[in-house]
Amino acid sequence: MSRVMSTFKTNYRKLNSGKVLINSKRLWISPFLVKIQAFVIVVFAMLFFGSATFAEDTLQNLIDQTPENGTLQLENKTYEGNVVISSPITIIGMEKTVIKGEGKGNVITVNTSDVTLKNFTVTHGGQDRNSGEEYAGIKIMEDGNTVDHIKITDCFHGVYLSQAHGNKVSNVTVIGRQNGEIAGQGNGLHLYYSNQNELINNHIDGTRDGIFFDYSNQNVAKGNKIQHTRYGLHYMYSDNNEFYKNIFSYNLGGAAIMESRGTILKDNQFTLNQGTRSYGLLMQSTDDTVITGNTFFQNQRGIYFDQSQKAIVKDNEFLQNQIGVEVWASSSDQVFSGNKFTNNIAAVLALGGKDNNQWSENKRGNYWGNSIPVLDLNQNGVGDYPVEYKSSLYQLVEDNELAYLFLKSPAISIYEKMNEVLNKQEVMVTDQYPLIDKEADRGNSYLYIFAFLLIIIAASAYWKTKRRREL
Amino acid sequence: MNYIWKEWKEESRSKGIWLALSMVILLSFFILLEARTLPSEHGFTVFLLSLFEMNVLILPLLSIFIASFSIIQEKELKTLMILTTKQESFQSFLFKKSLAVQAVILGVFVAWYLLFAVVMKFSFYFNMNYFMAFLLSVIFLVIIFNQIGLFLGSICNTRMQLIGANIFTWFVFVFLADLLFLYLLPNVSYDNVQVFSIFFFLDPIHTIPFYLETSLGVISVDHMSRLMEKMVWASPLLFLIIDTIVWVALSFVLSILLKGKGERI
Repeated sequence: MSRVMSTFKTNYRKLNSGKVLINSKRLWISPFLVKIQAFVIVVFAMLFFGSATFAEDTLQNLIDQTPENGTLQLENKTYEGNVVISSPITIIGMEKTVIKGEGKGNVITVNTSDVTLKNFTVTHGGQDRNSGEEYAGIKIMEDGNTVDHIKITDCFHGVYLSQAHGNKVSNVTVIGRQNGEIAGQGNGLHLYYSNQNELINNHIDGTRDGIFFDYSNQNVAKGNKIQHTRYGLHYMYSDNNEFYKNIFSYNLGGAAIMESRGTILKDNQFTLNQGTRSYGLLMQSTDDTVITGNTFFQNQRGIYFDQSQKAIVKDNEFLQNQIGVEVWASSSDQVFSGNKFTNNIAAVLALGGKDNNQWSENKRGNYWGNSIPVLDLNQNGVGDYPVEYKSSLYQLVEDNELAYLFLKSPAISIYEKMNEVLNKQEVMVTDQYPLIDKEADRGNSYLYIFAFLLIIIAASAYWKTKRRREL
Repeated sequence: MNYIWKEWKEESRSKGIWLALSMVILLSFFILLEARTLPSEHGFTVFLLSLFEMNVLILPLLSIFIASFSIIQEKELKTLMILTTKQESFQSFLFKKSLAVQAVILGVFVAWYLLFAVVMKFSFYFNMNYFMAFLLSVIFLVIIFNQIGLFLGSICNTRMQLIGANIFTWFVFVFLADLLFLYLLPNVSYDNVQVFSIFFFLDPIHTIPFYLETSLGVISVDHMSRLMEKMVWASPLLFLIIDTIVWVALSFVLSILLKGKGERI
């Protein structure tokens, strides 16, 4: 820069003196022209050097100037995007650090490995659906990157992993549009041909789908909280992924696992996923899934099985769902054991034909609560005889989607009773070894004792007041 | 105002409203105890839903009984005859009586739920918007069934008639109507679903819970099937308002047209 300046000064002095050598001939130029030329040169020089000086403040320049494996500490202010990260660096923000995109394209594109993004907000990404590319707040296209404590708003997708493996996305909050046209909304986290990634403790609210898996294998999702989406988890053509302790609530569907195999779902909560087409967990064309220790609470259907085979459904709790398990005849060879069915309107409905699943394993069936009375005279915790769960609701549900609107109706119990008397019920489940839940029985008896005490207290108070009045 | 004061004095001296209230209080506490054991961070939502499920069963019955007995008492004590002979027409009497009954019964139940909100606040993550949606649902439920009770009280001549009519009406709304809907359900298709929808949403036992569930965010009206989109052709709040206007107006007009004069001796 100093060299450029000194050349400029020399030329300016020559011009100012009015003497310039051209083609070895000495020419005299008027001082006025010299001044105009000098002015133009100065303006261009200022523009050139000035722009170089301003560019130092843009985020892209700050990123470009950060050395490999170096750290860029951002201030508590809004930086204008979009940016592309092409070398392995760490970017750390502060509480009020915001990276605001241009409203087109990806706000942050990571096309290298070993980048860490931490503690800032990303907003105003591209929403264009006519583009060949699906835009995101953060698009990761390489392996081994970390995204931690990032908030993403006003972007199409939140974090998009495109053929990126071994990345870690944790404590990311993605806030979507909350409602509107489905196609106009993106997903919270989107995995496309991406394997062995970790998705930990993220919070997604109001996007199209919470986490979308597309041809992505061996990923782990743990402790994520997803609500107010279409499908909390939307999962296509992906194998051997694991889901632990995630909470899916207030979605149209908690998790939709489709065309996949070897999925493990353990200790997740599927809560309050309601609507005529809703479910806690949809299993469609899936094989060899392991579903253990999950809670299905207040869903339209707890689990919905369609064209799925050989799932192990073990030690889950189905509480206050309209239908605990809805299993279509196209699904077979599922093994259900140790599951606890409590206060569901229908514990199990087998639709479209005879049930082809196994309702006990190693002489261990399921807890049926009040749905099926079980006799256990030898007090070994296992029913003395096989039991059958019967229902007539299967016909209604098979015939018309609107049947789900009536499942909570007080009339349903009368409908079931009427059909029981008329012998129109069908066997939904046969459990060879039904289990007895002694803890639940004890809990209920405490409640009855409390109710009895309350009534005694109220009655004696009334009697005392009456007696005092008489006196 | 005189009517409201008179109604309050009559209701507060009779045991009916206090018995009804004590039932609601007792059941509220039972549901609270059950809800506290539920394994969810969404306990408040689930609690409100459970509480309203209980209300759907008993509040119609209690409202119908209290409101209808208030009218039949006017007939039995001949105060209705005195009032309508001198200064009031039956229409104006019924209008003022309706206002008074609504004010007193609503006042008692709303006061209870406001008081109970304090208990809720200490037991759950309290959400004011959710609570207001719940309270509004209770108010609409009570208004509709109070007016139906006033209608039944107007058309019946004796207490025995009235008890039968009250229980029958409650049974129709809570059980029989849904059994009829279930019977008709296989004939419902995409083409005729809107006709079905009109009858479905005219039933306050469907409309009010639907409003509450959508207000609590449990049911979304955003991602519905084509059939459901055609079925739900207005906002849940609009359904609720239409429903209330229809039932209150219908009950009022029918009360005037079919009024009974009380037991003839």
